[in-house]
Amino acid sequence: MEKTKNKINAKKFTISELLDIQGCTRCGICTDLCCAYAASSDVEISPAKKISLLKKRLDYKYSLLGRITGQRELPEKDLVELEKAAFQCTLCGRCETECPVNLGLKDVWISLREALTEEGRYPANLEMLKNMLLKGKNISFETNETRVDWINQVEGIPDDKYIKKSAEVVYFVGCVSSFSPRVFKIPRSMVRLFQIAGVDFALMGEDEWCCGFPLLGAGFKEEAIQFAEHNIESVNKRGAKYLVSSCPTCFHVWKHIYPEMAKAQMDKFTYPDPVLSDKLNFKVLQEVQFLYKLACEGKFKLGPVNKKIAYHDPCDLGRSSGIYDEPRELIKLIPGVEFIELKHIREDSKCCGGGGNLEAASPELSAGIAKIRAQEIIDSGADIVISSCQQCVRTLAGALKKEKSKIKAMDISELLLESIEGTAE
Amino acid sequence: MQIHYWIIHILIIFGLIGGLIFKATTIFEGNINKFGDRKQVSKWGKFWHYIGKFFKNFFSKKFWFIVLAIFLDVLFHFKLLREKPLKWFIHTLMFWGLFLLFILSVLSGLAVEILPAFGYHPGTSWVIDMLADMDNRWTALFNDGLNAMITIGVLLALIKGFVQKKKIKMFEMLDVVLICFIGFILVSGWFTEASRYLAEETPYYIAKFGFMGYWLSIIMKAISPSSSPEIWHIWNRAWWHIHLTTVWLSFLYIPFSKLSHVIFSSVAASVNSLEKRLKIKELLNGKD
Repeated sequence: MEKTKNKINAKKFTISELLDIQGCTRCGICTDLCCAYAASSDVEISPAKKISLLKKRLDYKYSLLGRITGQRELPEKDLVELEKAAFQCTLCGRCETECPVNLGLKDVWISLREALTEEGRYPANLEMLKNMLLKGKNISFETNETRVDWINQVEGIPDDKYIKKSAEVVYFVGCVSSFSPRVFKIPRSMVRLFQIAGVDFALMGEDEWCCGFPLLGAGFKEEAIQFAEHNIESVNKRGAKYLVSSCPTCFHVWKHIYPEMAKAQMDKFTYPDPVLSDKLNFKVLQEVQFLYKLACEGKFKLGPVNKKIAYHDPCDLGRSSGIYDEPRELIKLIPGVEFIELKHIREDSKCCGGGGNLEAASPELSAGIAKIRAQEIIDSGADIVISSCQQCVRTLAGALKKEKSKIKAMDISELLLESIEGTAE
Repeated sequence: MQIHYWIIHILIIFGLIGGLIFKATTIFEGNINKFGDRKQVSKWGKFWHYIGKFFKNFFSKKFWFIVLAIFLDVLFHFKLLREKPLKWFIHTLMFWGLFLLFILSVLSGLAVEILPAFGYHPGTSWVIDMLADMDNRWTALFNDGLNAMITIGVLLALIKGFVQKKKIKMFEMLDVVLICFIGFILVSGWFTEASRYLAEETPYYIAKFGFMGYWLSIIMKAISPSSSPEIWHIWNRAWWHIHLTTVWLSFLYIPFSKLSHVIFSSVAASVNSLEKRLKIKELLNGKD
């Protein structure tokens, strides 16, 4: 115990999260499930160690002596470990699935990041990420004006490039699909599918800002609220009935976090000055839900794909949003498909390593996590692994390539388009 | 029990409650709102906010979800059973052992100390007579059976804690201190019982039901065969005081020990489990 000022701010946590921290029994089940721990075998980044250090730090600060002197702090070595543990995590939420006390660990990890960020304890890369986001409104080095450049390769696009002032459906592309050429196929496939199904849709162009999750995940909550405010207003003014997102994280943010932010600000007891007063006047759907809906309505004529296909559950679509059946049902609608399940599926699915800003904080660890999942896919004997997440597709494709596997990693929209256009190899 | 014991007892209870309140003040440092409270809300304000929320849920259809959550996730820990059966077994031995022993002690205390003050006479109720009589075979058997359960739990926890393969140091100082406390309460309890059997020269056919104390009394007698019942009586008083003091100290230590999870984990498990079940219900009803 060092005689330095303990700067951790409990106000960065909710009462429920602080109760969870006190309620942890250190049973270690979360550690057995943690993908980061599995990939690194580093006990210092395990959830059990992380919560234990956090609890100790809070207990020091709010002990009798700590309250009087304010000078009960963990040794610097432990603080460095806590920072490392906080940011070397994909925020996949697998740690909380089997917790005997049902602790909401993912929320605790996000708040821990916020508390550490306030103290200036965060990886340097995240500062760069924050600046990029605040300046460019997206996670790339590009300006936001180039957000729909990917559409130029799509045939038959109108002059307005679908950037319209009103439409029935707003397609929220997401930063990775908009700026990472490796996954441009996803928004392109979506646009083709919208065209085939005759959907009245709009893109938001530079009006589309990052959903804000990278900011939340890096511990910049206040900044994330500004992004939410802008995005909600932009979609509402287009009078859309549906917002469709390809990215499960954007979907989770739109579906669960924005309403929670808005609801929180409507609480006069805690928020006398709401800045986020707009309600979401539209239904939020993930691409897989919307495509399944269109397929069930008979909008697509599906051709055969004679392949063994496995499905990888993205964390934010599965564990965070509870969507497990639609993607499986959609794949099974395609004639000729032999559907296989991976060893770890649905709530128990393993992370691809691409979440929680981990690629920015520790690319090696992210690759290590992807490698484990890639091995599971190889062992399944599948020809194609499908996901409904651009980040999963990107990381798994990279990992499968490194493992010299011929298995293709694709987004569900790509598979559907290949089935319709008969281009499946 | 003399009046000064009662005074200490009440002070200890206040100490326990005070400790829990002190710990709870750390929890109430937090925000109500996930996205930060813009308005300064006092800890009392937050406390009453949650009390209001609790009663709102309690007197609603959610009541049954609360009951289910307490039953499945607080009392029986079905998730732990599924994931780690050995850990569940150890936890069950210790939790139910301590819990039932605590209830038995409270009931015995009531039967011996409180009820006679309200005009209760022996022979009116066999249950109360049984609870009041430490030599009653069922009371003794139940008491020592629970003691044995806890002892096995403590021993298994120690073995598991020191032998586990994982490199992660899950076994912390708090656990060791807690296990020492529980262990010492158990051991001092057996010595108290054993010395009482020797002081009162309790016959075998009665003492055998308090089997832990009885076996120990045989060993003690073998070590000091010439000690008179009066000497054993002195030992009995000494051990009783040691036992009682350890119980009191452990009560004061609860809020700062790992045993505090009995309270905090129970509340957290109930709240989180309730939220999870309601979310699933909403998903099933298509509200999401």
